[in-house]
Amino acid sequence: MTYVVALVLSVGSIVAGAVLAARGRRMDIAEWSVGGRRFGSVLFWFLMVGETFTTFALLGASQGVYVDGAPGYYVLGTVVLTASLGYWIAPRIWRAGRDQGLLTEGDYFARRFDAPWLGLVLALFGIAALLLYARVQLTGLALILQTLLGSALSGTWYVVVAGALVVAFIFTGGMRSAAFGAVVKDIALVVVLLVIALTAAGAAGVHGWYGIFDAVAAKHPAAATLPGITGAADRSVWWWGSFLLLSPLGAFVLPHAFQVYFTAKDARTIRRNQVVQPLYSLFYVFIIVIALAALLADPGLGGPDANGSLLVFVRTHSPDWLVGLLAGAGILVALVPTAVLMLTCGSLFSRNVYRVVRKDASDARQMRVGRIAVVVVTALAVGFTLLQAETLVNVMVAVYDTVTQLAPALVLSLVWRRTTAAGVLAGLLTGIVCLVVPPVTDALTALVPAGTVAGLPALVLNTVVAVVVSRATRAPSPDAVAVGMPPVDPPAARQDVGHGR
Amino acid sequence: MTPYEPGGDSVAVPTERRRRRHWLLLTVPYVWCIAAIGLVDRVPYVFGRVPFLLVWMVLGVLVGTAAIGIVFWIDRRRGDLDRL
Repeated sequence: MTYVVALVLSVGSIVAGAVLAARGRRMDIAEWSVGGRRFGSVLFWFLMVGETFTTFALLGASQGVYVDGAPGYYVLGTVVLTASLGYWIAPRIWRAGRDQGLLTEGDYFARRFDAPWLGLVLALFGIAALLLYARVQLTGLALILQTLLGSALSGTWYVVVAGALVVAFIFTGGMRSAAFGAVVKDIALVVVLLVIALTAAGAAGVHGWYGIFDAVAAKHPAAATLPGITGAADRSVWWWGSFLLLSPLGAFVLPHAFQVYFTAKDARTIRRNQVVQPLYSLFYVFIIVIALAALLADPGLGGPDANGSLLVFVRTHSPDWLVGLLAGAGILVALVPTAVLMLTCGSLFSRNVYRVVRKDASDARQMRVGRIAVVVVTALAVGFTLLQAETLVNVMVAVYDTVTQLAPALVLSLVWRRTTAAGVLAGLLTGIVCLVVPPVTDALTALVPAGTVAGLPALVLNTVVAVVVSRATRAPSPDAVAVGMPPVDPPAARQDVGHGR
Repeated sequence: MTPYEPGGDSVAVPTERRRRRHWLLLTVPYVWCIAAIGLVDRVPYVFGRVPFLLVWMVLGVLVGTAAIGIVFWIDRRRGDLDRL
């Protein structure tokens, strides 16, 4: 029963998504990478939600509440903070994409700074970060399936099959497949979690949600306020603030964010989405309630096991069909975002690595290279997930942690004409050094209140260096500057807007 | 024509460089979810034993959505939705 439900839900929607997307469309590189820039409000919303809520929502968010209590409530802030910044920043990214025919983040930086080499460097940096992100998703998928379906199949097989599904999913239909898959995934996830949250109190042996709060308050008096149950000094108010300030900035500089924004058909589609998207994040309340119920019913899961606390709770206290639904939703929660990550890697390679070598590559050729790259990077992601190559993984973790340091480059490129390629690269390197060289990190964190995430002071230093170096180097050409900062809206376009299209 | 287009052309053609002071509302989520937490964190429970921080953050999503929604609504009325 569990297996059947899980398989029908996940494989069914992936096949349906791929078939629907491939049907009746002439595929070219823009159609494949960014859905032809034609997504309206509904599809765009589902795709954005699909990318925002990954296996982290099922595993990391519940783990945070299960282990710490109050510090885990921060997740509720992430989406609304990102949306309010996005109201300003996302239409600018989108506009550059439409006006310049950009498909990737690498395209943007290469064009904005007149520097294909910068696009190349950032594309390789981005691919490394996304490979790690995909590894997290695939590891999460294996954990979800092993916990919910039992260990009849080894984690290795789950990961290999998942990789094959990802390739099958986006090889033909590209971004449009992912968007269709996201529709099923977003609905399934919230329905399943709602059902589990409503039955959680019974499973924990108390009455209603209030019973859960009451019992947690009695058992863990420290759970309601920072620093939470463990009382760790680094879960201070400063941690909360610095973490929540950094996370929206990071959300815009991950390469797949650019590609997802490029799919929107106009700026108002994006802005409308910033209004409604935070509402979906209210479903974190279900996760929090389930995690608190798990803390009552199945206490004592420590270390890495705490990642699976929500899963253990559901497996132990829910009927088979519900476990199957969660497993099916879990598969989609891992595969839909991974598909977009791999698609992004394919586009980055094709547009910003391959095209630097072969400048005259035709659209059809870029498309072919992109597809081959998807197969290769997905194989790499599966390989990294299976191999316990710790050194390599540590390098990728460092890359992923430092991606947020691209934020000053993006923001400066949108507001300051004088920003130069050398400036943003110098800033980025400064930020990276601040985060990966331990003595520097220690010195930096000593300067700020205890608990502050090191990324925040690093970001300040990064910005200062970027500004100073930009001042000292030659400004990009006016055409390049216009990529990020178009001259005041041309009158023609404005009238067009006024009269409605 | 999408249903979101404003009705009259006179409203729809905006004056260039019109100030958008209402965009200050976009800072509301930052004040609510970050700046206010030092104070909010001093109150453990409301309504008996419901964690106040949790209630506050749920309200933050709603209040933040309302704030962004008001900005959207004003921009739409002014025909400014596609202005960067």
